[in-house]
Amino acid sequence: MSSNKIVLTSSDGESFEVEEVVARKLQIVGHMIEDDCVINEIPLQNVTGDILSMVIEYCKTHVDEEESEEAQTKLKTWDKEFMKKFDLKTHLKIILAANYLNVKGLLDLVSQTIADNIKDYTPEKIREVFGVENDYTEEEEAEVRKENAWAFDEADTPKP
Amino acid sequence: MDTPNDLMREEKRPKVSENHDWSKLYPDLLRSILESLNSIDFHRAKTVCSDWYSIWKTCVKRPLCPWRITYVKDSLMLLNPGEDKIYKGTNVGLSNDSYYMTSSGNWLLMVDSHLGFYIFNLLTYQRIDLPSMESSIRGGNVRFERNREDGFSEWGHFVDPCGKDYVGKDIIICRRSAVLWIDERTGDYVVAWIFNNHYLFSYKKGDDSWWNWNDHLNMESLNLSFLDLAYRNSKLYLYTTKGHIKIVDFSRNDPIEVIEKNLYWEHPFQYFTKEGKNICKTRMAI
Repeated sequence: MSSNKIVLTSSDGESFEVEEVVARKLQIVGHMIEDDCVINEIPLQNVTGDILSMVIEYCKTHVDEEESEEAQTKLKTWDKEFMKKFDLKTHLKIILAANYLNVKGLLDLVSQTIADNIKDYTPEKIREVFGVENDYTEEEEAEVRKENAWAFDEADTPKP
Repeated sequence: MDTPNDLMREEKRPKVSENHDWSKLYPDLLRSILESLNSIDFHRAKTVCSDWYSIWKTCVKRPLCPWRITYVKDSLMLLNPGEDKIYKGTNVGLSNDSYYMTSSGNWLLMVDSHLGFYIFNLLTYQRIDLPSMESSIRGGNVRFERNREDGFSEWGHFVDPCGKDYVGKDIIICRRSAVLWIDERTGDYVVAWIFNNHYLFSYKKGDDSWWNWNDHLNMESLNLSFLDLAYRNSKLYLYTTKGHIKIVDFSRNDPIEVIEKNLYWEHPFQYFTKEGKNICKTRMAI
């Protein structure tokens, strides 16, 4: 079974031949296999070849998830390096693909990566990179800000 | 219920192009990103737009508990007990070498060793520098002189007609003697603080300089000191060593002391535990 090959085809017609165990990491494919509706070639309409190849690279690396701590650490390091290769735009494409193809691990990884990247951004900057319009009125924005204001407590004072 | 797949169909899967509109990021995905943010950024994210806000509201709630402000050596740290995480002041946008005086909502009133006060919003990173304490102060015959050498524990001197007084961080910080009030909607703000339990300074948005109050308050004796202060509804309440509460009205252009309408004037609060009506109770309770 493990040697069974499946061909995944992207929306722009690029084909990838992968082992079935790798393809099963894409749960969308996994379900098709279980439902017995699998032929050897699966068209994936919602993802382009460049992004699909990244997803496959991730799945290949994560194909046997070993329990040992060492292996886990190694995988984590790989994940980090893997994510570093891409910019925010690509991360956003990957998250859409991971969602469509239903790759849970990648979805979590890329969510965390995007979160890490947009931290420390001002709301203006977030709007800019996400292309989001600020549709609040001034009053609304003030209300939202005020909504859960922090309380602060001075724990200690510096020694003179 | 909308599932991501429904939305995807509805939207007619966009071609992944460079100018894709990410504002349409599926709610589930955005939620997953938002939930991966740490606390400060998480709260900041809701101010992006109303779509984000409505998704933000569906995220797993995080209990809001008071943050602790502490100093490690001289660096300010913010500790959020809710997520058991410590933020370095300089990492969230506060200047190095600056100290916490008080807060109002998401705004912190800070002072640095150059006697510069500023207010800073942790959500938006907005920072407003107030005039230096060294610049001329209206209303009083007093001034501050800054120490020109850096890294000195002594920040400078306070000069009044009778002499000079040392100013250092122990004097400014160790006593909780400042108030900050800010209106998030209009952006109006008022800052007041007390130096050496005696000298009251205030700054209101739009003023050219700080005000000193001591020559303008009805002081029964020159030795009168202030123990605490509070601000509410355009009025500054000052709790004096004699047990009186003085009130200064900031609702007009020039602040004035309220004497006739000051209900507390004839009623000194000598027994602190019995306060209970006014805002004074929390901040002025000793």
